[in-house]
Amino acid sequence: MNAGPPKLGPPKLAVLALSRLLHPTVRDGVLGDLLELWARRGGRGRRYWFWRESLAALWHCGRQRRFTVSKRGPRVRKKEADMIRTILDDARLAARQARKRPAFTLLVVGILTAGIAASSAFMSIVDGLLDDALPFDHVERIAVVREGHADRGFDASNVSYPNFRAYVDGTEIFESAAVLASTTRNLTAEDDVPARLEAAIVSRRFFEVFGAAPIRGRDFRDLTPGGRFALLTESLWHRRFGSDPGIVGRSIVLDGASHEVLGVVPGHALHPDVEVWLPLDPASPALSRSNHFLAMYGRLRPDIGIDQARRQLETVATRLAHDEPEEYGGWRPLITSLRADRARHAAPVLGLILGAAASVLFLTCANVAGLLIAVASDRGREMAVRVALGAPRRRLVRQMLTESLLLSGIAGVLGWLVGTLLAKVAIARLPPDLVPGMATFTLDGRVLVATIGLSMLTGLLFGMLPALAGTGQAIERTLNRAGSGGTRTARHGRRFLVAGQVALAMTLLLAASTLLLAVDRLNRLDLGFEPGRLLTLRLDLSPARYEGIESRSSMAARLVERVRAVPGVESASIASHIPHGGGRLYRGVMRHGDAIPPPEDTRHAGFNAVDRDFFATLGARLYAGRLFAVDDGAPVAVVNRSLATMLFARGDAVGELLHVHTDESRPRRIVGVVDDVRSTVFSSAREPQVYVPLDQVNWSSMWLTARSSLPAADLVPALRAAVQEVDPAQPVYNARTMRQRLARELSLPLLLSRLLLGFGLVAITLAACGLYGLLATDLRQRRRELAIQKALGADRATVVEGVLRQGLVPVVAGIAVGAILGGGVFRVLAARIEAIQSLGWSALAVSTAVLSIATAAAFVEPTLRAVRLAPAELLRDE
Amino acid sequence: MSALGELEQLVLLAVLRLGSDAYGVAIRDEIASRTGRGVTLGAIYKSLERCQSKRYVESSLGAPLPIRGGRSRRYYRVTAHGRDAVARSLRAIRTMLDGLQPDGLEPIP
Repeated sequence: MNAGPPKLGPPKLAVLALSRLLHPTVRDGVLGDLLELWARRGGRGRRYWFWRESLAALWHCGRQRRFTVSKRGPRVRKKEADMIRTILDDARLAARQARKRPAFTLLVVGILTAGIAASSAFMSIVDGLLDDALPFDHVERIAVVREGHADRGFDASNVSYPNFRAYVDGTEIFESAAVLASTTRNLTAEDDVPARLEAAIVSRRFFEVFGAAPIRGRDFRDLTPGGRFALLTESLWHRRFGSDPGIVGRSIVLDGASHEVLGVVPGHALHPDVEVWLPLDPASPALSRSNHFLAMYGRLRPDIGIDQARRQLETVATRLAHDEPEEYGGWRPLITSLRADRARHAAPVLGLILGAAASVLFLTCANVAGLLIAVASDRGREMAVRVALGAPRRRLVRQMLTESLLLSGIAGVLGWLVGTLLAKVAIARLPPDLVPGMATFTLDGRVLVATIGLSMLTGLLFGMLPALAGTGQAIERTLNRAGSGGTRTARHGRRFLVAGQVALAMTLLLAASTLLLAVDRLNRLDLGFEPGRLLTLRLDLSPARYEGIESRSSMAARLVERVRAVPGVESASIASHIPHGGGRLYRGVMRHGDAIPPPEDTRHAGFNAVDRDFFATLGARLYAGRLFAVDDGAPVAVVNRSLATMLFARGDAVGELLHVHTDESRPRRIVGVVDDVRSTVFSSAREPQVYVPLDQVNWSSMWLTARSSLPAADLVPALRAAVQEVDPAQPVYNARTMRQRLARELSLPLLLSRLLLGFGLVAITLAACGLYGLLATDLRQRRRELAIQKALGADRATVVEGVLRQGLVPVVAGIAVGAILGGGVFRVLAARIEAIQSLGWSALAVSTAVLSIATAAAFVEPTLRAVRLAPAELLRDE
Repeated sequence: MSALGELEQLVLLAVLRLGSDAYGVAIRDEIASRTGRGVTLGAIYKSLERCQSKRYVESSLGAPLPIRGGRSRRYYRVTAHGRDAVARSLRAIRTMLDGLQPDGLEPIP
């Protein structure tokens, strides 16, 4: 009977490689023996042992070993066999060289691995950002259409529905086109907690544009008007409906109204949060020409390029501007490919990341090149001897190339593995909604190919240099020189490389320290309120169940009262918006008595409906006047200082009358002025803001804010319970502490600064190593000269000066160039994050100091060695 | 006629010692247990192949074994030609050792 295989078999890949690649005469013997030994061996390290044995077997008994039998003619056979034998010989010789100098080999492979890992990690991330997140059929044909209005400062606005129709009907560029509007819906079911869902309203051909087919049922393409329909996203179907196979045709309740489920669709990569899809009703009164709120996508016909599409759209625009001067004047359509659109969104971040990755790769290459050149000049003698013995120069160059290719090949594979790991870690730390679709990204073979290619290129480029430098010397000169120091070209080349490394390290350090200082400053920024111990959560009152101001404000009052009773809660409030909660609303404002300005001159202010405890709960500061009171019957408002100075002379606003645009005919009396509250940490531009009492406006989305004496995050369950107690059918979502919201805003600069810091540290280490290598080999090559100097009576100072002179020039030049390059990066960053602007000099000082210390460390050992060099011994040896 | 490499010597001696039981694993074990030297199977097979091409050894297949994944052992046997080669090589070593102390390799005083 068969004894049966052991539970855990030997590595499958190794067995496969052996059975494919071993020479047939020994295959069964070797493989069988290995399996026999595998069965006999036990315990840890068995797999490692098997791999080692397998590789050794392939090395000794590989298929190519005997390349004597071929079906082709004898001449070809010999040539082919010769070539392969030479390559194998070269490889074996290279491996032997590598083994002979383990320190050098480890150093080169280590440095290359680090550099390649870093750059391949970033390639993975960038690749994931740009392409993997767009898993659509023929994604290159999908385009995004926006509208711009130069005079009103809209450079990429959404489109309005009549314009969308005009763009589609007036051109022949689209195979299909659709629009989308984001919204939210409350989903209620009898036996389950109500849920707030991200929803999207889309026109009929939306799924056709993206080439997405429903998993079950059908989508909106053949929908006839009438009735309420919805599509569910797969995740919702699984989660909420237990993957019910009979879901199609069932009805679900959204915002209190019954909808028939038409089908189930897979998650959409561009809108990954959307779980319910609703059809757009073309007859809706909201779809006016001036209402620009729809995201438009189109699938271009295969024969239409983006430029052609742009021209056709502009023709339509010219006609529209002529026919509808009132409502279309000044607008123009903007079309970009979906790919380019995403690249544009991510461009600043990606640019920085790619720049850093490229710098590190260059540093790596420069470093390794320096090492290889040093070795090549050391091996100049060996090369000269071989040339003298009749080795063709071509052969020597090839030999050195093989050596560097071998090293870079190993480093390439290692680097890819490490880089993959790094990318996974980095992506896990990024906020998932930084760029939609990012979380779903996977690594693919392209990155592997690119990485290996990159490393081979590194090997070729930098193997070439020393190969030529090493073999190009006149034999006689080299043999006679007897180790008096590498060629001038080689030395200059290496000094240049060290300067380049220092420059890049300096650039990276500058960028990293700037960002770190900025993040630190942003963390300590005065926000205009107290972000600590503040819990915020969102609830949207369903218009069907809470109709009118009365029922909503009484619901809000009951809720606040209930929440205030929760142990640990110090104060609580309800507002339509909160700082850092996202989704701001602006309304036109004007002084009472002023003439109504034309639309383009309208002043806008952030609008927020708040209850009486809002300011106290947030910890906002009153500047003048008073806050809202219980008996505020008449229309009142509180404004911030920015609005006060914008509209009123000397900012004296208390007691003035203010019109807030839209449906309010009566002016509001300003009762108080509060200090500005920052709504984003990145810009210090003050935003005018108007606050009105919650019970004076009709508003349905609400933020519940509670300040606690306990850690705010612990309160979430108690607050949820409180809301359920007041209204069991009311869903709650987006519960976060204010600190979490701020951290989220800062997560990208923080991540970037950490990555750059990591890069910067790698860079200074590399640069210091490079410098050390330069000094050490210089010293070794010049030791004869130095010994003679010393023998002739040169004092210690002269010797030290000699060493310093070798290294200081490239270091100083590198720091200077790096400072200039860093200045450019700094300007890019400062344009995005205002807090950076005044940090330039401190960042420069920090970076210069760090780099100086690192490079100074590289000088220590070579200098000591030069001082201690005993001339008598050295000269006697020669 | 070419000289034997060191590993070839060891492998041939191991095959001679093992008699009819000389296959890869056994040869490896024999060398390891007597000399304390761990040699990879690949290196052993390479030596065996080289010896076979010089006709120092010949080989034959045993029955397929389940523990080997259904593969056969390849048993090796030293040929007369091979014995000559080993003897010649050992004789050369003995001649060279003549006049040296066998353990410390110092000249005999």
